Amino acid sequence: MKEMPANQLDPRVKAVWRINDAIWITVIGLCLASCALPLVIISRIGMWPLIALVICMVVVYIVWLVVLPPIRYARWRYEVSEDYLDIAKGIIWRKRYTIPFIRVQNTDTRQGPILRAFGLASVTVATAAKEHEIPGLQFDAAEQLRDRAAELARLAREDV
Amino acid sequence: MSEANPFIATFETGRHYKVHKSYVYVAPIVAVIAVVFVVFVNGLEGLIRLYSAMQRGDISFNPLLAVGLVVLGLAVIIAAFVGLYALAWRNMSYVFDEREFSFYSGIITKRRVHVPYARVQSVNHRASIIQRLFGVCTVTIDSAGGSSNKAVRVPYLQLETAERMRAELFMRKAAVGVGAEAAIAYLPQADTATAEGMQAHRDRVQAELSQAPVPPGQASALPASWACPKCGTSNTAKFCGKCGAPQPAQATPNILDTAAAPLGDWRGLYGGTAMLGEEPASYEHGLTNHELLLTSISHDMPHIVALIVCFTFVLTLGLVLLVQDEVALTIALYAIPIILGATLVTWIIALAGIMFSYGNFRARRRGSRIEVERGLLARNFSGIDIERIQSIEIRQSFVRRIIGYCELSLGRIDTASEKNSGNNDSKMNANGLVVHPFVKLDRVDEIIDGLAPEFADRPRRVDCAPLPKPALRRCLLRRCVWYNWALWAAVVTGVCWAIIGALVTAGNIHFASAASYAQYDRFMVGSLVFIIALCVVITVAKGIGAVLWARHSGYTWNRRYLLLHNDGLSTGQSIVPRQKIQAGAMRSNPFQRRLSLATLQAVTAAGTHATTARLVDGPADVGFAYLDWVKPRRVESLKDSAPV
Repeated sequence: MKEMPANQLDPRVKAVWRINDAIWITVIGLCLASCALPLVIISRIGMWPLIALVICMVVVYIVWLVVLPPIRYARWRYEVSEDYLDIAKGIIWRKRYTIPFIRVQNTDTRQGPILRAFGLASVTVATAAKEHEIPGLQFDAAEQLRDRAAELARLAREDV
Repeated sequence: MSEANPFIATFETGRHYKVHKSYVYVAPIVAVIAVVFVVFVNGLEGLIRLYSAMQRGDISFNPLLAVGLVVLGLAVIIAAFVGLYALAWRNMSYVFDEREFSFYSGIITKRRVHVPYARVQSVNHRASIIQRLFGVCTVTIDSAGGSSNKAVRVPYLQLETAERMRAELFMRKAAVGVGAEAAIAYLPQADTATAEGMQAHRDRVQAELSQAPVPPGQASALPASWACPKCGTSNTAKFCGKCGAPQPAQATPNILDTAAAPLGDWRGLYGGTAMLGEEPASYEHGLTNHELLLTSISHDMPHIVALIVCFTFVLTLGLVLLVQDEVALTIALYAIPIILGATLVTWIIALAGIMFSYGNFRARRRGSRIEVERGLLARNFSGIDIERIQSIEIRQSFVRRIIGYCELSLGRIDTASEKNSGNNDSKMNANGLVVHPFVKLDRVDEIIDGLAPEFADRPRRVDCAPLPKPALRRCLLRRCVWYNWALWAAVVTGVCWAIIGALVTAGNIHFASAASYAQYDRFMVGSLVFIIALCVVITVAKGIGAVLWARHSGYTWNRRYLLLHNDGLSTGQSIVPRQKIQAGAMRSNPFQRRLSLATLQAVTAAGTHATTARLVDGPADVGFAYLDWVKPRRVESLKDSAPV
């Protein structure tokens, strides 16, 4: 059990994460800038709030777009065994989940616009309590995984 | 009707039944009261102006006319509501079909909600004070499923009809599902209980049955709680649960030790006669008056509410005193009795609230279900199938921990019922179905064995493995530093005050007079001393809690159950059946990984969404073993895995 689950996500998911995060960071950055801009214009404190914001943004961009995606990709692993789904993820707070298929109620594939552009899809496995998402698998692989998970969930033998 | 055989249908299949007529004239009462209250509050200012205008003689009119107008207005409102509810009543009916139960409602938009019998999980009812006066109640039919599944709510049924409806639904469920998958899940599985547990269960049923038959109409007048002369435990069954001694003949103790039965059995105007239970209850317990009193006194809520009220007043007073020193003494003189009075009144109201909600408490095991009835004025009946128990929770508040008592509850999947928002009960039900609000720790096992003998092979607290040593240091840091709000409040105050002090010393802030400087000085020092004292008290309390947690918390599991115990100033113990764990999880941060520790989590479907039982800082390899244990097992690979 201590060994990591075998499968990794599709490498293209890193690009998806980058685009997704870039959009969010830009939106938040623009919000902050729209707050800072009037302040800079009205008061006479000079340009430094704007400069600080730009520096922060650059740092955040580097961390989220360059540093984190490869680590996150390396840490994100899953394995579909006959009886359960095994997920390991997280960089600082590392999480490990075991989801028995016998408790799985439904499995879906989902595709947002970014995922679709890359021909990827995410598989969602829902139990009575929570949903677990495996993001960014190649579309066919995701379909297969979903069908397999659904099949295993259907076939899961009584647990004693 | 009261002697109806519960195994013969008492409702015709396919016939439309109406809810009770009192819906037309009782339900509007509440609505009218609300409307009148709103109108009164909104119009109060106008009324006062009108009155003063009349005093001045600006306007004058016949007072009789005014009274007449008010009465007319009221009559119109009442008529409108009664009309509306009458229309709603005409369009409201319920039907027992071949395979499902349907509820029709709606005046303009017709609605039909239906539940297949096989999916009925529990049939509960509750009655508000006004409903109780008339002997009617609102029935809620829960079906399997999470938050997306709404419960069916049938309002204003006579108590007797509600009881028959429950019996009918469960009977039809058993009948319809023979051979079907759902019925197999519903039927208690023989192998879920050990031979020992089932034997104890059978013995209790025998003991119950061997008693003289209860006269009809008094089915609910089960014996009040009694104290066993041999071992001193309090019982409601006919035999002492601890040593098996029979109940002594008519030992009437003082009034505090008797259960307040008459109000609980009072069925209201249209309540009808009580129905004999579908199946005999194999175990039942109640609360004596003194347990009820202690339940409310040992509950956290009244003390916290009273403290908040007191604290708010004292803080206000303190601020006033700091600013206005000439009148300080006079203010204090008046303020102290007011503060004490307000605190006392809040405290008593909160205590009474808890006593009313747990008054006439009864919990019993009947067939495959556990039923709980409670409430002195408003009454609440709620049941859970034994197969649907998500966890057993044993919780101790601070006061209860000191005196060695706890609250015993069962985790269950709550379905959001349709018009349930803003209901007080939903808050009280947040921690599952309370099967005993106040029980001595050493009686917990006896009660679980009585209510749910299927859980007989659960692990016990004594089997728990302790946490590793570094847990204590980490917990002290976590609770006394990182998560210590009082410390951070003190730090922030200190920094702010230092900045202000620096500005004053530097001459950036000027004072009008020496007196105002003295005032400022007193305020700064006073508030700083107060917040530091608060911080010290809270940190010490958190430190004690952390030590207790690290020493006494633990984890264990056996083949079927996981037990996580979190100790501290207040404690919580969760016993989760392995089959109810939706996902096993383990998480760790870099510090934990350095010490090879991990947080264990068991996610169940209890509550409206999900509940996670967790234990911080178990050994990491135990975490992996736990995840292995969560994996489903096949019959052929049966073997116990126990913690290292």
